[in-house]
Amino acid sequence: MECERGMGSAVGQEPKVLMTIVSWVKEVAKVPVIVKLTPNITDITRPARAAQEGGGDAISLINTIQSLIGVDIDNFVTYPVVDGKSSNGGYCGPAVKPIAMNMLKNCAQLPDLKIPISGIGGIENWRDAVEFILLGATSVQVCTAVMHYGFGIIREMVSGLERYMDDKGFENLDQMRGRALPNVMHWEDLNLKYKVVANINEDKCIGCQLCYTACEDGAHQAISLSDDPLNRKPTIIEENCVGCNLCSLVCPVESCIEMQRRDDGKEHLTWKDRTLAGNIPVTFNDPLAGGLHHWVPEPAEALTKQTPLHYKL
Amino acid sequence: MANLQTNLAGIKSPNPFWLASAPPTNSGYQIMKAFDAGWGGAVWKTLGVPVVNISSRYGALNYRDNRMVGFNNIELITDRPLADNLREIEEVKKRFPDHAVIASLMVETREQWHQIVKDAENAGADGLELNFGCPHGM
Ligand SMILES: Cc1cc2nc3c(=O)[nH]c(=O)nc-3n(C[C@H](O)[C@H](O)[C@H](O)COP(=O)(O)O)c2cc1C
Ligand SMILES: Cc1cc2nc3c(=O)[nH]c(=O)nc-3n(C[C@H](O)[C@H](O)[C@H](O)COP(=O)(O)O)c2cc1C
Ligand code: SF4
Ligand code: SF4
Repeated sequence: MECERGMGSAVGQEPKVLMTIVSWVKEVAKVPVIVKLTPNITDITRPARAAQEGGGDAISLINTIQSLIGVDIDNFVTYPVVDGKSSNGGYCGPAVKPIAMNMLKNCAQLPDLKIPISGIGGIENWRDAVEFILLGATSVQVCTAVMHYGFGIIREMVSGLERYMDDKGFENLDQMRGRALPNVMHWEDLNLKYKVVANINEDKCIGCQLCYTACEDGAHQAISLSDDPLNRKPTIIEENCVGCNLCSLVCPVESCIEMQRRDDGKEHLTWKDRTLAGNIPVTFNDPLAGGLHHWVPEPAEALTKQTPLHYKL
Repeated sequence: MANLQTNLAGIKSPNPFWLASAPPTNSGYQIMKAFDAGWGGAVWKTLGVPVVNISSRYGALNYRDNRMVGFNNIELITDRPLADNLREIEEVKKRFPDHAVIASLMVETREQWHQIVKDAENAGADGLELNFGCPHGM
């Protein structure tokens, strides 16, 4: 558990110890004290609360995530290599942004956490900063992007943020901070009646068929190809589409596949509502199973090796 | 035009963009250059008992055509003597009184915490950031 020199994560992972040290600092500190949290912990809200209880004036997150970045497969050692050996490191940069934002949200949504948050992790442009601020960050911090591109990226960050705020009518940062937080809910509070399906814009489609492959092998066999070998543009089989978004995420053309709403927006029913009403599946072959009537191809059709025409069109 | 003035628990900066405590905040030279470029604040590379770093420190995850989508380091906190850092903090604050200079700190004992807090404040730090994560996630 000990970080070398007996500092660091070992303390960050023990909320009680963290609280004690924050209170030591607060015994003498005259300027505001920010407590920087390690993400190498199961529940980030515990050290966040401990920071506040110890008297901390703010928290910042995240520091780096324990990682091995890769293995030199010829010399059997991980990177970075130090004289033929290596050690685990700390991970940061664009790849950690989703993890940082989730931890930020978890802290920012705590009703009893009153202290402000400085957001860190994978920020490299104004849009990233806006996302962090909408999730409750008061300031944002940047490391990797500056190590990559230098201090000059700040010009675009500042002017982009200003433009965004002007477009949205925000006069200051207080007006925009945390605006996305009320919309991040527990899964069981989401509307089960909401229904979207994929729609391919034929004018934009380049016929790469990546969407077809993704849906066919990785989702719900809801995209078909044409019989005509000269027509490479796929078609969505709406009744098979569960609205998972996968095809729209793999499509390389911007807004070529759009998810279109099909419910009328009048009904609202959540898993929680259904649970309270005793209307959820509880047995293995429950008739309430969500996928019960969802069509799937016959298993043996997989082996026919023909242009799939097996869709129930 | 939108107002980017930022106030985090009393730490004020002209905009919300701060440099995180790391190699870009290793020296007064870098932080002055960053403020001059437009950064609103900087958290100084973590101060404490200076370490000895190793050579060969970083690794990167490249994804297809993109370099460094993930970055990995085995560095520690500052390897520069405290007095050098404090002198440069003072110099930066003199030149940029309205920018936020935050001292990142990591020490062990209560006495050390008390001492380094006072040192950082005397140098003119606008705030302190207590580093409770080892720089390389150990
Ligand atoms: C090489 C390197 C050294 C770092 N050293 C420190 C440090 O001394 N103190 C600290 O609190 N964080 C340190 N960090 C963590 C960064 O301040 C920041 O929390 C992390 O890199 C995530 O932000 P990013 O994705 O913008 O890089 C370091 C990061 C890197 C890459
Ligand atoms: C949409 C989706 C659904 C998943 N459902 C399950 C599941 O039912 N059971 C399970 O053990 N893992 C589930 N996983 C996790 C994967 O099995 C796997 O552990 C994870 O995606 C990491 O592997 P990858 O990076 O190759 O995707 C799911 C992953 C995704 C993306
Ligand atoms: S949204 Fe999902 S199920 Fe629907 S067509 Fe796209 S990949 Fe298939
Ligand atoms: S992925 Fe997009 S561009 Fe490619 S075939 Fe599908 S809809 Fe067309």
